Amino acid sequence: MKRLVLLSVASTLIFAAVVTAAVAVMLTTRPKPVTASLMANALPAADFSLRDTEGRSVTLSSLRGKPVLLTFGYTSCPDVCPVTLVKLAQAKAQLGPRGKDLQVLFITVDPDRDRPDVVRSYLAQYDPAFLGLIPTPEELEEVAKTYHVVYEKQPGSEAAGYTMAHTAATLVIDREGRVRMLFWPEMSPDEMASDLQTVLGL
Amino acid sequence: MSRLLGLVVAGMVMITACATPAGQVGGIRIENAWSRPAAAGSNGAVYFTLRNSGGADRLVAASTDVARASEIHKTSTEGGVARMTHVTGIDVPAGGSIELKPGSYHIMLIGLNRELRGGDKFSITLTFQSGASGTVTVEVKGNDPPPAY
Ligand SMILES: [Cu+2]
Repeated sequence: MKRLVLLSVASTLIFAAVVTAAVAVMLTTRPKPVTASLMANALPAADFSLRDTEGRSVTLSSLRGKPVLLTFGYTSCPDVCPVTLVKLAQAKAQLGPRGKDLQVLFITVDPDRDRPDVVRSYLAQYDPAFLGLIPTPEELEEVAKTYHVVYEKQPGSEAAGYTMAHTAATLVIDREGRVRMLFWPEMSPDEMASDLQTVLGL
Repeated sequence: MSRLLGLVVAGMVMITACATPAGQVGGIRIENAWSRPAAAGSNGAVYFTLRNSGGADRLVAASTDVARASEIHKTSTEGGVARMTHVTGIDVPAGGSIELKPGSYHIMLIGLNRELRGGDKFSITLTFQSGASGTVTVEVKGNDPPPAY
């Protein structure tokens, strides 16, 4: 009799455990809402080849296999660019080992003023693994046109010199080299990390 | 419930964060003045909240020793394109408040004389159209965790 009670208690416990596990799986596999702007048709990201801060030539296609976050900015930008970079760094850190092979590429839209060493130390404030690319004015024009990125010199005061108006989006490119979504500076690092998990499977 | 608790905790954190870098200029209280880490020679930005318990006024100038020049700027984003413009001032309505924050109004520090590191403090002097002027302490907030946008 005692043995029977024990058995039924055990089976109840096992049943409860199975149900809990199933619910947990359902909760984690249910697709989370995505905050980023999703690209309806994941088009292949057009290739480019630009010099990085160390003078090496970096080709986008050579990064195939790694998720790439491609963003545009300039180092004398004190307001919007730091927001983007600090959030990308935070999102990457949140993903832990899953975010390790994530490559952030920062293309300066101000090649006239942004010297390689300045770009390197600017990015290192956020994450030393972020890679700065310094196009020639012609290369910038081409890569910006390809990615529908707008940049424009804006006259400023004598003290400030000009500032750059620029598209503040970050393009999210998957391991297969397709543009999957756009991140905006308003998004939180949590939302970015969550979208990278949901859409890129990180 | 846990969300409510989170809000309460966030509110408490905000109150403590506001406690030090604050000042009073006439009827205007300057709260939570902060900045980001930035390299010497580059540009920085200062943010704060202005709470006005007096009559309408306008912030017209800012100055600090840490930069070659300070200007009042506004970032606006249209069609995903962010643009910074130099503005002549920021209206502070009577009994109202204005928050300078990333992606919006900021004091642009042009040509930093020294590096700004997380935890550093420096002072900034704000001048209003009424003629009132006062100095507050700006706290450099580290990048981890990122300040709210
Ligand atoms: Cu500015």
